[in-house]
Amino acid sequence: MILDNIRHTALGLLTRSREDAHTALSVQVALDRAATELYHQLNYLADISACAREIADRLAPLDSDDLARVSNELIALAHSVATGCRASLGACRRTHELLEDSLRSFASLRERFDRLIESSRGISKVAETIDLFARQSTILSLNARIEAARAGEHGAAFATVSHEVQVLSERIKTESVAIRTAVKEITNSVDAAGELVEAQAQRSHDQEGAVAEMIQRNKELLEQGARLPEMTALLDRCLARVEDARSSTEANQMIGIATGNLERNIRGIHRLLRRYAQAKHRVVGSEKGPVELFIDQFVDVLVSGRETPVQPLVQAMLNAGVAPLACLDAVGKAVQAANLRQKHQHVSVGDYYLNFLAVEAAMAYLRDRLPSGSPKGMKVVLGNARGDYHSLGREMVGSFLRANGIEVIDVGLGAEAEKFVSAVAESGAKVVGVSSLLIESAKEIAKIRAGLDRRGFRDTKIVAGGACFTVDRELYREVRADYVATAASDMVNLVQRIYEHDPLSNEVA
Amino acid sequence: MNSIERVMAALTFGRADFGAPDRVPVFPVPLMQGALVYNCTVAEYFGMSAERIAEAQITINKMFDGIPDGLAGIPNVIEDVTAFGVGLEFKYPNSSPCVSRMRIRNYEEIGGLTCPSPLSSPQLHKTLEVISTLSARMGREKVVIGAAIAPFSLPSMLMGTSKWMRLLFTPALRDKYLRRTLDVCAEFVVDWSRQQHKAGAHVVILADGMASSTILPRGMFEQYALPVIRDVIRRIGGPVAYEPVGRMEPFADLLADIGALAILIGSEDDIPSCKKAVRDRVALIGNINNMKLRRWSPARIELQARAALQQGMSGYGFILANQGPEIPFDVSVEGIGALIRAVDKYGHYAPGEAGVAHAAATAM
Repeated sequence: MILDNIRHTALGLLTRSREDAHTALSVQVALDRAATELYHQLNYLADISACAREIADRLAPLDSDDLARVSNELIALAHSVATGCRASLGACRRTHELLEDSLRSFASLRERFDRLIESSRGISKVAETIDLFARQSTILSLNARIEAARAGEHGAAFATVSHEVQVLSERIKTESVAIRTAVKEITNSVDAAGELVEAQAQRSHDQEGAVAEMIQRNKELLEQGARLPEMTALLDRCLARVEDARSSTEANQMIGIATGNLERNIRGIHRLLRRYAQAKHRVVGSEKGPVELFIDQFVDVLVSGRETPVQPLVQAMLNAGVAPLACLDAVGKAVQAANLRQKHQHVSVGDYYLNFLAVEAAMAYLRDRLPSGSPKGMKVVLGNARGDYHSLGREMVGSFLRANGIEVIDVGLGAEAEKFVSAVAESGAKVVGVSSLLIESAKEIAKIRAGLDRRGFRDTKIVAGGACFTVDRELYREVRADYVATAASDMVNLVQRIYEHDPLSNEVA
Repeated sequence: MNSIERVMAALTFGRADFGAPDRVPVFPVPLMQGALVYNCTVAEYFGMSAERIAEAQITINKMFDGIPDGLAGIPNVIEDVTAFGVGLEFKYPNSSPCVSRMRIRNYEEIGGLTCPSPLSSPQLHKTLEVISTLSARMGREKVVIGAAIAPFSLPSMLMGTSKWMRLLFTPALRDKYLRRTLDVCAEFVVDWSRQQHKAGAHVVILADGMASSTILPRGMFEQYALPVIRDVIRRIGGPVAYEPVGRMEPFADLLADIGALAILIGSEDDIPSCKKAVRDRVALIGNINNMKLRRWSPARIELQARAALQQGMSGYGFILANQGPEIPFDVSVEGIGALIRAVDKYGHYAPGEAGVAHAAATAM
């Protein structure tokens, strides 16, 4: 009975163990697939990086100054076209109004001419009536003279009167002819003037049509001119693209760093997954080891920005038997993971400073337990350029580098170019980090480059950092640096990639 | 409309007695370029008399046809530390001066730190003379600008940025020394700013290199920097412009009501977003990247200035300027001219239209 129970229990345990193992295997397969997928994503990132480089190369010949000039000229042209069109439109409208006034005046003039002609005709009729009267007076006078002759002597006075009447009739007749002639002349003149007015009115009418057309054309021109600012905006966008392309070397660096981080993380995930799957397979539970636990907790400290004491976290690792070098590795991994998470949010210098303090505290706890030198064989000569006495950035960078097992040869504040070069010669460091706040001391980097070249260290890379390089991210090219690190944490990834002979490290600006 | 009327009209968004501005005002900051007037080094220029420094700034203004609306009365804000008994030295003849030593070498010295009189420093005394000379000669027409390091940033000049950051971010140090440090610095800044107003500065710019979102996490800014800034501006009692050197946008909602007439914004700030965030409560000054001015051609600078104008001028409350602190010495005169003349080409307002740009792009 007992044996049956034991057998039954053992069978049950075996079945559960097989199930667990099967589950673990399924989980491992699924996670392996996920890891493979992540590797694919990594390749996509590399493709994106390559495309960005190609775009940058293709756009490099475009002169942004020329584009800026053209853009300004286009806007100036648009402005002058608009001003010209508006002035022309105003003038056309005024001309149109004047022509309309003229046409109205011509119409009124025509009416007056008509009335004048009518009046002239009236005068002609009056003259004709007067003429009739004169003719009748002449006849009357002749009749009177005949009657006077018949009356003989008694009719002499009457004959004189009738003679005077005849003379008067003749004069009236003459004046009537003159009136009719004058009226005819007036009528002729009025007719001629009327024709002229008519012709002028027709011309004004034609001009009105031409002006209306000009107004229409001006409107069309204004509409077309209105597209110029659109074109300028397009040009400005092109310019921004060119600038983006110019900055793409830096973007590529960032993509490279991100790719590197991702790759390392994927490798880490892979390792963790295998360990997890193995642990699951052995049915020993899924508890995290001291290193993983430390990384989780330390990343949380770094990302949250909480002022949390970190020594207890390091002590817990040491108590669990983790070697000091492995503890240092865990600190570095946590810093990298935190930086990766912070990369996607707004991070102030203060946030990085909190990370720095946490790392510094962890490092202070480990320092005496660590062997001297770099466990990874990576060395960086780090210093502030001549004339620069702002140590903050250098201190933070130095701390992050040390936390990642990179040896730092610190040449200090305001270091002369030769001091950097000598430190490279003595240490064999492949990377020089130069920090500078102000532009004049940033220019010292060119002297460091010249000194390195002179001494045969042409492959030694210079990474520039500091406020002036953050404000103008292209400045590093001008001063002959190879890279720019705009945040202290970027330096770690750049140094690792340079030492790993990553292809990106050959992208000397 | 003269420069003072224009600037006041812009700062009050065209709503006060000043009416609407005729164009966007422009405040280039050619502090070191005075050396070009005398064909000497920046170090030699800074050593000249107040009268000659003022003369140089007036000459620069005339060099650009009087378009700049402001005249800088301060050679360089770093000189504020001289009141604390710290000297200045030029590491390079044509660069800004640096402090010769730290006033506070260890935190224990903070206990003995007292507020000095600005007038105890010959350099600051000379700066007041520059301001009063500019005020007497141009003060009825041009805006005379003073400046001081803000109380939250002055400690970094007295003890070094690294020490100041450690004090800020280490609870034990912060609890012990922060209050005292800020009290002394605030008292000095209030006194020094008032002296500049008294000498004839129309506005004093408080440069706060340690208080922008570039440097501080928001929580820390709200808790430690903002109350001091607000209090100091209130105590100064005169017109103040506030310059959080670096990005302003993440803190724009907090800065709208600190009592400043204007906020200087950084080149990475998006002007329309900042304008929207402060909603006519405070004017904006900025934001042409001063470092990039060195390598941009005049045409490129004009384009950048035009873009800034297009983004900022609508609705008034905008002054075109380079990002702080100053125009680097190796920026070409033509480049500075392109920045200044851009307001004349693209910054005019159409008469009677509320803050609508008269530029071709919008007028057509």
